[in-house]
Amino acid sequence: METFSLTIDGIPVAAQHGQTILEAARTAGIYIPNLCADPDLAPYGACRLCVVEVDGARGLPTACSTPATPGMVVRTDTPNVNMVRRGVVELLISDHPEDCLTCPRNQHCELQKIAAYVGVREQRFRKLHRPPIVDDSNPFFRRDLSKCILCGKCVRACAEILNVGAVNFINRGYRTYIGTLGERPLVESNCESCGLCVEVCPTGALASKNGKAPSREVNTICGYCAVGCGIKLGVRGQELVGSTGDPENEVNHGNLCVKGRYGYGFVNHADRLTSPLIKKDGDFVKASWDEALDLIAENFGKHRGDAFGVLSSARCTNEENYLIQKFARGVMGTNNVDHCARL
Amino acid sequence: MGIKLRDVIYEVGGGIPDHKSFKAAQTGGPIGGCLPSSLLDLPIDYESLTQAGAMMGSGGLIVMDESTCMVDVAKYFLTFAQSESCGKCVPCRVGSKQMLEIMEDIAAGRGEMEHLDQLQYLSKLLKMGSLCALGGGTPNPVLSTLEHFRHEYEEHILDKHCSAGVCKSLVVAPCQNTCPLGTPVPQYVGLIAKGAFQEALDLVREDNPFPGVCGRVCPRPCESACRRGTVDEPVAICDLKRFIADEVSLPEGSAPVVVAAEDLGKVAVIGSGPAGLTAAYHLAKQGCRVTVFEALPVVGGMMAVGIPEYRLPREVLNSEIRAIEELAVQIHTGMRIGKDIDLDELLARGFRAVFVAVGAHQSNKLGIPGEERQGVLHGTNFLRDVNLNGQLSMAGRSVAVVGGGDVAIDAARSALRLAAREVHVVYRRSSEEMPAQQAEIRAAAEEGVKFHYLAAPKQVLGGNGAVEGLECIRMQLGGWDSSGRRRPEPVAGSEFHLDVDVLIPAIGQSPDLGLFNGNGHGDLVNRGLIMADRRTMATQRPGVFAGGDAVTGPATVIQAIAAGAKAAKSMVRYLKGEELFISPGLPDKTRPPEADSWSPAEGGTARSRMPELDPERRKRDFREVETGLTRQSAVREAGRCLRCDWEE
Amino acid sequence: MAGLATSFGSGAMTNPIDDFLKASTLFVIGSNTTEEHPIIALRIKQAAQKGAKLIVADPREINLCRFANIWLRQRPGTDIALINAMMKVILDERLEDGEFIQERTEGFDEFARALRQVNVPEASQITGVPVEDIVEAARMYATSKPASIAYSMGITQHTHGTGNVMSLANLAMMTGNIGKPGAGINPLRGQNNVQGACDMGALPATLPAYQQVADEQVRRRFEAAWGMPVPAEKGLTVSEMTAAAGAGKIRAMYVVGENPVLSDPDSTHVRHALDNLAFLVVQDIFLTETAQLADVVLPASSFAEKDGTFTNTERRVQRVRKAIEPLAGTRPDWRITCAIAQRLSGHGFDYEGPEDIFAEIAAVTPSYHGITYERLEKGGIQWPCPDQSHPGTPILHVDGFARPSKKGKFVPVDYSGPAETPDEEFPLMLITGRRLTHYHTGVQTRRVKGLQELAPEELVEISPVDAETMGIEDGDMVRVSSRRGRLEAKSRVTERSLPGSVFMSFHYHESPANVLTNPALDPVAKIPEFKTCAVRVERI
Repeated sequence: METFSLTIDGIPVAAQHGQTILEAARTAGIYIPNLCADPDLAPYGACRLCVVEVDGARGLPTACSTPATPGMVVRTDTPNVNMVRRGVVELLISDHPEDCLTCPRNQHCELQKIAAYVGVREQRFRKLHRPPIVDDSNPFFRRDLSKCILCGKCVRACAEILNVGAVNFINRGYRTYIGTLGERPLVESNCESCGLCVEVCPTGALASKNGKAPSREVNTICGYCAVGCGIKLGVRGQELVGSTGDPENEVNHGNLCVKGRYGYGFVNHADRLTSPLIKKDGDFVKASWDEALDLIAENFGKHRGDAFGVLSSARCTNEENYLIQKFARGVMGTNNVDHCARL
Repeated sequence: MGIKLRDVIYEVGGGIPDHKSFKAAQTGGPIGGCLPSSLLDLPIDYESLTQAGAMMGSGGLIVMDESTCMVDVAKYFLTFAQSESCGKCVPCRVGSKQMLEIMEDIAAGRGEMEHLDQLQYLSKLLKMGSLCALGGGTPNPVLSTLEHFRHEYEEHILDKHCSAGVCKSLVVAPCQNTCPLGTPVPQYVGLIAKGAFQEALDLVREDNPFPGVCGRVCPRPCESACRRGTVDEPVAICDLKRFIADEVSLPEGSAPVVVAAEDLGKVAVIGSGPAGLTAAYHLAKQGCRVTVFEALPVVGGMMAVGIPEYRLPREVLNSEIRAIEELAVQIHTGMRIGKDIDLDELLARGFRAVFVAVGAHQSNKLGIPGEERQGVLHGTNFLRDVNLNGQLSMAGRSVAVVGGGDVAIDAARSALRLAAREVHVVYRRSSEEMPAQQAEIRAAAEEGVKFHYLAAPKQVLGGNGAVEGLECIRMQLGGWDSSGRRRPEPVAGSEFHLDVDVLIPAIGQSPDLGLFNGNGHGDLVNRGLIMADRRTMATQRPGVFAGGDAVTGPATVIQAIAAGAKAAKSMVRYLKGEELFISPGLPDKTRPPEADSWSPAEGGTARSRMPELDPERRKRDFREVETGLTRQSAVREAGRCLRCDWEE
Repeated sequence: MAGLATSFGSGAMTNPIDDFLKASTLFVIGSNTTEEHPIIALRIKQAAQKGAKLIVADPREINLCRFANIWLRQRPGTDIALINAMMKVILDERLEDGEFIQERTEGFDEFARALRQVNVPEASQITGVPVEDIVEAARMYATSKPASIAYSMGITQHTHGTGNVMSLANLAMMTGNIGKPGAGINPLRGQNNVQGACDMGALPATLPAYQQVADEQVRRRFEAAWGMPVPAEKGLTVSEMTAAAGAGKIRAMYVVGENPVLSDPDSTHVRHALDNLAFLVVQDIFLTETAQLADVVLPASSFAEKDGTFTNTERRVQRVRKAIEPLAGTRPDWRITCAIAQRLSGHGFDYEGPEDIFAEIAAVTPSYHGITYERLEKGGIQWPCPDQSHPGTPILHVDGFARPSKKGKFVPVDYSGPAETPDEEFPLMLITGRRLTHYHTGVQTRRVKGLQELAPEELVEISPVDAETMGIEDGDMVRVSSRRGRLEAKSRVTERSLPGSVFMSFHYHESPANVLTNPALDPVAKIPEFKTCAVRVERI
């Protein structure tokens, strides 16, 4: 793609046609604060944090919605820009609860980050109180509208990326809030619980009910359907505590469904089998591995050939399936091997 | 395009109805701006409106009169704009909400001065940061009213007062709100209705030492505001005040006044008019040792030498002055500031503070040829002579009074009582614009005073130094001026003569500050008036306060009383070393249980008429014209009060 | 699978998932994509949103219908009639791609002759789809190109599933919608590694990469590689094994990570068959309904506890990585299988780990030759990938088909109805399928608290018309019975259901839909007819 050059804060920056100022800045490693912009969503221009000055342009255009053009001279740190930015952050803080330490989004909150960037140290405006509407109906995440900054990311992601449109804006002016059709609890709406809204929410308005943050993440593939989405499993010790879509994965590009994001709980479930069991007189009795394997070898040995059947698993890895059919054919001497492909 | 705002309002729109005056015009709808009277000549086009902080828009032209509160208007438009905000961008959604909350606080009396800075800041933020023009325009009504009507914001914030009587939290009742002194009208009227005359008077006298005077001479703005007037006629508030002053004070003597035990030291009051004496009254009650210095030989200022006896019998005034003197207030007459005493000297002699309330006693000149002739008597001088010199006579004289104010009518009716053959009043506008009280005009006409409206004096005629006549010229009403009245213009060739030998110009007064100026106190004076803070009455010199007509120019007795009361308050604070100004608290609007049992006289119940002497009989001497309400009619009249203060 | 293999020589998605965004027309048939393959559904919805035309053919009013230009509501089991009618329209209106047919395919003339017998109004009668909708859909698919077909078990799980698939292959070939970006015919596979399990030869007739066991040369190669003999006769499918177990021909079974008691048709019969075995070993992570029947149960590790690879529905081989250590007491399946094998043969199963196994796979599996763990670190690779410099193959059949002649084969398919049709006793057609919140027999998802909260119980979907006839109100408990069994569940009266049909998932052991289903098999693919069987619904 053809590139051209523009200047941001005196630094020459290369950009591609179709890029916005914000995208050009991001590529060049220049941070312009923003709350409602998202690379996967159409420009929205509502938070007003990414305002910049452009030589020759009137007013303060938003970097997220203004296309970069060749030779453009952009300034991101002028008195007017800073005035609007600071004002916006102060207004947002004035309209936001101050329970940061116990907020599920603490330290991952975009509003915190931007308040720190702008350097807000005092609260000039009075505290406003957004209606404390809480929707606790979804088992995986919670909506607390007192923390909503109305960036619209959840609404837009649900509509633009998912084409579900479970939530939308209700009312206007300060009374605006985000809710479902008929203002019913989320689980009674057409929400598919995929959790994308939680992922894009910059504040604690949408937050996972799982309080544990992972200590490390492992890139792997979702174990449910055959789409094979890339996921990052969040791990704390020996427990799975979260799952997010892998944006680098070419299959799902970071998107997940409800099972991919929230369906990992069975792994650490108390019902997991943790010992071989041998049925004695109709009841299962715990056995050692050697005991069980010896018993199996003894009995399998009696039924080699076509008296033997193997069901492999579409949920096991390629390596395991390969071994199982190799076992069936090479060791047990039968082609009676199949799996649930047809089911 | 380009037509003037004034022409749209007055020519196209027909002016302000009900004789009210223009206050502001909003163009551009809820996101336009308010333009004050000073911008009436603004040509209307896109650029000029934008520059003036308004805008061209489809929202119509909203013209507002004096009964509009600009804080309330700005709040109203902001409420509208905020509810129309789409809610998308932060500056508009949250910023306008913040602005609205501030406006609501100001209107509710919870405002603080720093809120005005916040409004400015938020306005700028909305203008620069909003996503669309609605957000950018939302602050316009606030910004434009802040620019042109900042004093109204300050009044709401600092004085907890809404002059227009619109902001409910600040207004007890329209009558009380309109009274410069804030007299608790509904309460004392209520007491009269119950027959508790003594309590009613005590209540009035808490603030006002001159109920008898006010009950006679007050132009009664309270009655114009009285909501009963929208049902039938206003309650006769003023007459009721006179009634309790007469009923209680005169026969039984005034009720004892509690004086603070604390001694705040010596203070001086210069001038014994309503402002000075009211200040003295309050200062004494608070524990000051007060000395009043009066230039004239009599005490009472304009109350004694301006208002004729037929309106205010001297014994009424004097008994109220005596009651003040009983608080150990020393009054020295014949002591003129700048001549007999000096400001610096007073301070040096141990007076810890001085209140200057020298009034406005100097008549303004007509500025026409022949004004120096013998027989030209200026209004205030004439009235002073009438009051001080019992020998004065106008027998056989033909008198022309020029002017339309209370002084002009007082002079005309006094001249009649001094046996003048005929008395003419020459006024350059029509009767509707005449500023004197309508009742006074009516009474004067009944007594035979001849009114010449739409006429102005052109020159004083005469041969050897005496007045031999007055040449006048007819006037016609032309374009509208900034007060919303039509400007009088001479009609060429319409001159006519009045055959008079006495001319009394009464077109306004100014304070006589000559001596003041000459003694090195010129720094306290500006444009012929003493400069004082309108809230604290403090001049720029520590310890020196000023109030009344000397500060405001000629005004009413009740305004002077209010100034005196206000000055006393801040002087006491000064003496105690406190902040001079502390915002008053909000009015207590809790509704007492008795409110539920109040049922005002039903609609159509006629207002009690003040009985008065027959015009033919009364015009021969200075006997009081109005004779006062009877007990029965006073109680009945008080029962007409709607008790707006108890409104839910 | 078998259908596509016949027509194209290979039975997998011809195009990658992202290609749905390049299609001008999308024809989704027999796939409730938003619930079964939600992320693929995102791409389909995005494509529709961006202006691609969407044709949905499904008896149920699935979520995708909202985005469709045309919704063909065919009666269950009438897909061939519908597709044949569409092709007849294309032929009649000369909308076929003559050049493609000429150069890339064979058997067209015979196929066209057969097709000329098709009567569109008659097909409309059979399918319940109005003639004009058939015509419009045919024109749309044939003219607005590239056009892509996506299908799933709604096509395959019929006694004539192979015919269904071959019909779709005929449709794609006659319009030239094969071997091009944004075109293709795309079976959306059900389970996470069903493609890989097939690729690996966990099938009775094929060794890895679909090399036939019947082919002696193939067997020789594997015998050489493994050092063990490979039996020549092809084996039995799942359903056949069940039958053989029931008949006493199979005496012992090794079941790894499968739950046939709930997943296979006619559960009662399956249960009896497994009970009839002399020895059953089940290896799983939970004590499933099938494991409860076992003589020995072996505790396996879950996907998060082991390394390996999965191959997704678009043939993309991707790395599975161990996130946590195997739960104490459990072992990864590969270790268990090796341990059993070693006890029985003593050699050939001494792998160091999955990477070691994968190296052997790559060596014996031509389509995986070029894939290594090292390469997979950079991202998935779509087979065929013949050598290590090959980037993988996103689109199949670009230059030629995988058949010996390199040409696609038209196979005439005649319509025949479902094996079991409604009658007076069982007046409704049962369709089974999946729901978004649960997976397969629910072994995993029923144990995820939140998923269980979202969808706690089975809801038998029934149309308002049928509900009224049967006196059923939304939420009533109903009994559903077929010739093979019966169950109880709550009802959900909904317009989504086509009058005359009811829908159930098979996620709930409390109301196991497969006690009802018909074990009748497609004669070629041996896939049971899960999608249609006759049932009766009564309020209880």
